[in-house]
Amino acid sequence: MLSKERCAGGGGGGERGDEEEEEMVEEWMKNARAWCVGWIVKTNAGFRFSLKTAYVAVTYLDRFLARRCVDRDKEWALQLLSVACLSLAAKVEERRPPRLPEFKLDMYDCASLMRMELLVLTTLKWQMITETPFSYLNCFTAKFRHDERKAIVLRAIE
Amino acid sequence: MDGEEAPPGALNLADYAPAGARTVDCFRRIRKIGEGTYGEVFEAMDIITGERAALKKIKLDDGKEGFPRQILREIKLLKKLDHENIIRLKEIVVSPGTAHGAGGSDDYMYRGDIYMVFEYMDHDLKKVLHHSTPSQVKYYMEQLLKGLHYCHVNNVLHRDIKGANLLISGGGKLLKLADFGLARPFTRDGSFTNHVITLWYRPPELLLGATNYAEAVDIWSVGCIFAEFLLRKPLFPGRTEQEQLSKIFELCGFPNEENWPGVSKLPLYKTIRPTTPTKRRLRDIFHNFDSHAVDLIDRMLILNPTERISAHDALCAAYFITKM
Repeated sequence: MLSKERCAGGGGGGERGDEEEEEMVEEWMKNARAWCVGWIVKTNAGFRFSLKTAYVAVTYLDRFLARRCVDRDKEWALQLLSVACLSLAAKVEERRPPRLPEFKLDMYDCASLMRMELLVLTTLKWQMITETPFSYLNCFTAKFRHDERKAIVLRAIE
Repeated sequence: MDGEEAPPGALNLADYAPAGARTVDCFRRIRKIGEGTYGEVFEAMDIITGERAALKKIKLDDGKEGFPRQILREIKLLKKLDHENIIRLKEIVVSPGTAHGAGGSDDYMYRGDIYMVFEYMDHDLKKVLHHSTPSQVKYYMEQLLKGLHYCHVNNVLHRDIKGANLLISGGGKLLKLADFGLARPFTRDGSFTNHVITLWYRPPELLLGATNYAEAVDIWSVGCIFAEFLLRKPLFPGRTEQEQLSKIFELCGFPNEENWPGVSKLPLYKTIRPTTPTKRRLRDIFHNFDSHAVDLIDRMLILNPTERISAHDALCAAYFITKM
């Protein structure tokens, strides 16, 4: 399923003419990502996690998808991937991360979810970076007038 | 490429380790060194480079937590810290797993485990804590404080400084902080659990129930270790939290609003009562030692955490400037 390591660099390859096929894959990946992001944001809100947790989860997702792709007929893997990214982000960011069954996914058992967590972790080479633009927001706004700060923050996190 | 298809819900085990990732098969086990909370530690040798390493096995129990949060945080911290006095996490390897799905009583010893690969260190500080020469002590203390200062500058509290977590190598020349299992990043306004740090090295603010604490908790532990080096026995060997507090107060005096503003608001302050009005007499038990060393210990073991010396200031203390 998620087997294909993206042929990194690809060198002089790509002489094949199936651009159309490539476009379709790209389109599918775009939709897949959008679906995952949607699920993460929605679920993040359901758990009342901080916005940063969702942001971190999405960076994990993007970094994962930059290295691997999900085959087109494996939609179910997207669900699993989204849970793994959010679960990992919550463990790093939140004081009380949910246990796996709290994600209420009847289709998958905890063992599969953990496998997916592991796959994400190894794909990200265990770099759990959680620095986001938010970290710099405070430094940045400190340069502005006191009464303007709040508006800037609100606009930035929109 | 996939081989057989994995049904929905069960991930394809062949994908356990991404292509190119190293597995535990790259190491030859030599012996078991110890046992941690999350699993065993082995001495091993990298088959390709011949380098020795310590492999910490992370038990994954297929439980409801998924990948253990504590390990995740430890890995995240260790990846961020890069200092000669902090143990280096070289890599993380997974067991190759089997392609035959879960269950089954195959005799594959590594199945489904994660290993943290650390640089190999000869032994821990506990071993030499009670018989080191003054010059060795100074050398260890300096390295300990350098490593800790680096952590603190990077907003990381170690929260479990003790002999067993300080590793020695290079014939007693090199000391490194290890076991960041309890460590965590801190912010000025954060509040944490106070069930950290082994009892003997636990500072008074934690024993009194503080949940808002900072770098000073680690310094207290360093002070206890420093004192133990000189005395060649533990400074405050309490058996219960109550006893631990009384041993501390016996030497450091009883805390009050005067010497420690805010102490009476700590959750457990009301449960303690001064037996006799005790005065600080910590220095009295060190009358035969290097006065610079005693000065420094005295400043590390100040009850009020905000007055306790910082790792940076400790490194500038006269003790480290003077020769033996």
